Amino acid sequence: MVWADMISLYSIYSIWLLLIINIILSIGGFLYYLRVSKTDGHIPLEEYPMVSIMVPAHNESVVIGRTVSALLKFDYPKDKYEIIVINDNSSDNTAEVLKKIQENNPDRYIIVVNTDSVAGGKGKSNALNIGFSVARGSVIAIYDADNTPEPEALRLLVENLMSDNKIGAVIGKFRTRNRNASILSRFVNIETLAYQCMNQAGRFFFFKLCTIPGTNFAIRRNIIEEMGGWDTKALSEDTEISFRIYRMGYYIKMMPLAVTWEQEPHLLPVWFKQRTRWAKGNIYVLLKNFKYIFDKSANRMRLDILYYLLVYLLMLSSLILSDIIFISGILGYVHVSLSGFSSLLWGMAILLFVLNVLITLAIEENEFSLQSAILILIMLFTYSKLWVLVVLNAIIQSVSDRLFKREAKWEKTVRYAEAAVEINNK
Amino acid sequence: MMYKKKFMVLFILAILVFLNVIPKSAVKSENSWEDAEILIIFNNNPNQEEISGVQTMVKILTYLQHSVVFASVDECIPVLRDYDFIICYDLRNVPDYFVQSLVNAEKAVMMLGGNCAEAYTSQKGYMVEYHWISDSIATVKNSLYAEEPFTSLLKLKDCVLLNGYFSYTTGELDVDGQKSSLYMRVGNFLYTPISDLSEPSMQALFTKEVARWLWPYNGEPHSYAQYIVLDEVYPFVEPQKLMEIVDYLIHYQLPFVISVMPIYQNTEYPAMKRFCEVLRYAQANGGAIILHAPIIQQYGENTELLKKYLSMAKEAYISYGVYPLGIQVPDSYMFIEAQREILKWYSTVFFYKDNDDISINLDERFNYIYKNGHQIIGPAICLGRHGNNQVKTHLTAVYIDIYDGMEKVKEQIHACIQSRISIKSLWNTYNVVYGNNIYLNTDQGQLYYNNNRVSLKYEPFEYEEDFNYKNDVFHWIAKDLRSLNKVLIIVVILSSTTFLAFIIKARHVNKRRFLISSKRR
Repeated sequence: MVWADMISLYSIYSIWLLLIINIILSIGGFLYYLRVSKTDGHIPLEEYPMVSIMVPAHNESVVIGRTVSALLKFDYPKDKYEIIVINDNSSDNTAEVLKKIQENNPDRYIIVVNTDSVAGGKGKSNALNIGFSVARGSVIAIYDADNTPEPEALRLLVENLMSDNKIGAVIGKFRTRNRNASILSRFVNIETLAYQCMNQAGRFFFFKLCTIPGTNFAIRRNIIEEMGGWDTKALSEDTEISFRIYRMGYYIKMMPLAVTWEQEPHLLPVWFKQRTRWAKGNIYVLLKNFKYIFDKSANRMRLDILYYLLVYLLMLSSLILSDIIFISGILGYVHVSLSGFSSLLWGMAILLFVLNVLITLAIEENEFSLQSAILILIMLFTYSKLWVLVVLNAIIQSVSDRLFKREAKWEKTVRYAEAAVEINNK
Repeated sequence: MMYKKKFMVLFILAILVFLNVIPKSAVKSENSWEDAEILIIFNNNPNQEEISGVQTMVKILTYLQHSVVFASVDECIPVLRDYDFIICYDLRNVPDYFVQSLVNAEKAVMMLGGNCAEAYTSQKGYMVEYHWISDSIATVKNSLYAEEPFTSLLKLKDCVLLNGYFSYTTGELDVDGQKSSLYMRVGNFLYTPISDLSEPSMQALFTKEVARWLWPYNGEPHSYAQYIVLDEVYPFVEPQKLMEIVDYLIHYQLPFVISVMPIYQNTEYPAMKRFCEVLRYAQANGGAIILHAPIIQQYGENTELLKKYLSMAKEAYISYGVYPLGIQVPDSYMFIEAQREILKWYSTVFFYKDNDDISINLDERFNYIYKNGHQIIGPAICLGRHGNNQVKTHLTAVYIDIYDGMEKVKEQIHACIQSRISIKSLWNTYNVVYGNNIYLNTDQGQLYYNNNRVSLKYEPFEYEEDFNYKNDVFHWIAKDLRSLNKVLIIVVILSSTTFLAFIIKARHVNKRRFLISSKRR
């Protein structure tokens, strides 16, 4: 058996293993969605706790007004929540926009923390730590500066959080507000629904495992205090904090009825930067927590580490190797003599992938269409390949940061005014 | 100032040459034209159909063992006199001076279709009538070597039908009541209104007529024999099945060839030994073995790698006493330099029709395979009720698919017996095969391996009772792939069904607005 055969075998087994895991998670996710859809998601409380909503904002003048307006419309008792916007060393007119909102809403708790380049401008984790220092609530809710949550989102998150002492945090679902802005944002929309929402729901259904998505979630104040705030070295503070919550013996619940809409990148360079940051952050968290995979006390967190290992090691390597074999085969450099694996199965695997994603779209309104099915197919051969490039770039950057002892730099996602996008939507 | 001007002129000239503004023919030396017997002329800027036609003619002329040059009208005007035989293929709207040059060249001319036959024949002074036909469907009748004539419908491009006094005619053509012969000859001018050579019957007819036209003497040209070839025989074929066919051929005392697929790995397995046992039995009873070219998607420039693999395959067979005497390759090999290089290791080359894709490189302008001096065997064209071979003007191979079932195989063998073409044994020809440390040759029915005479006497092998397959974990996993197929197909069917049910359920629930609503947006 030659090395090309061995690599092919490795890729075949890995890809099918990951596909089967995904199928199982999608089934779990669907069943969970179905179960939740039979209720309104609410678990009324006798007394609603004080909530501090924290919104880190760095040069967000384009979107921040819309975000705070949406936060003010929550159906949560108005005297029971405060909005803390951390205007993190912005060089645009974010401060003026926020000031105007404060002036227009004198009866609401809107706190704006303006930081300079000395205290601020060091990334989301740092901004959250600054915001946390002025927060009064026993529950902390986080929203990104480009979010427009639905009015009942906060109440759903808090009610579910308080329903069980073992729940450390509750996450909602996020949707793409500008999905029709470009073909890329359509891909992001599908990916968000299928992999960040359905997959999360599946993991929660089977293992009570979720990863905080960085926005639209509520967490107990005492947990943040106990863990000493956010890790400022982590580029994906959300994944990092999720791991710590599990290590502390809590679990994270998913409440898909708590929905927020956010702006996703519709330009490739912006998307590439954002995803590289996520991947770098996840690699950092994975390396930091890898030791716990052999530690029984880490509870179900070990499963999450395994899941990330599967994605970042098995999936990445098998996709790269299978592509190398495929291209080398076409160029005539490599000859695979492996026989017996039906090529029909590859076709069926593609069908399965499309159906898998279509389930997620079928659940949502105005998402399920033939056009979407075609997009999923195109996604498989384009967007999915870009993911490989993103992770490779993240690995190279992480290694070079470590070699040259550079601090990981927070690359802010560029926002766009959405007037044009809305015209597109019409 | 003067130097500046000169420099500018030279610079512009260089750019023009670089951009091909100055025609290639003007800058090309006449030395690039190969000596050949036949010149095929095609239209300037030929379309795909025309290139395909030229490719078919070059293949056939190569099987007929002729050297051929092919070029466009503009390219070949200066060299018309250099070739004894000129084939004008579907030429349309050619300049008058071309026809004049063709007439003045006084060479044997053959025209297939096109619209310059009238100009040529009138300038030659032939007494013929002309009937112009626009695009239409023609009824074609011809008998070839069969007893019963073939009748078929053929698409005819606008062309001219010639009627009058001809020294030779064959076949019939009927276009809306307007009749003509299919091929007609006067002096050394041969004409057919048909340029479409995509139909096998038209290819067979062209082969017959062009061979007769090229034949320098009176009467029919030489007749060539055919080979019965059991095609694409894989080592995993059931030995009993192959044995049954081999025995059948031996029973009828027919010489035959087995074209075996190359094998590079696991050649020590008992299955390979059993397969070679049958081949050795066939070899000892009049059968000859040739190697089938490996089926690889793309060869690229990796000639050395392919040669290495072919050597490995030859060594594997030779180690079991099976001696390949030639190679069987797709006909596209003759047009690609890297593949012609591979063929240099074999004196005997069997060509089979691969597909109708265009592989000819018009820029080569010559059938270079001819220079290699191979004994070339082209594919048979089997037509008619019994599927008899209709080509006897060059060596042909009747390829039999052994996977068709015994009855079909028997039918094909009987068609070969009943055809009027003799069946030849590869042992009666001189064959040479090279390889890394391999030199095989046959001479007067004797086989020599690295200059040592080899006996072909059949002696059964001895088999190990407990063969050690030396399976490692990778072999186990690879073997398990086959059983995994079934499991995965079941998984995929179950998952797809579940997913479809989920989609239907989700749509149903969504319609009733029970699921997550985005109305609140």
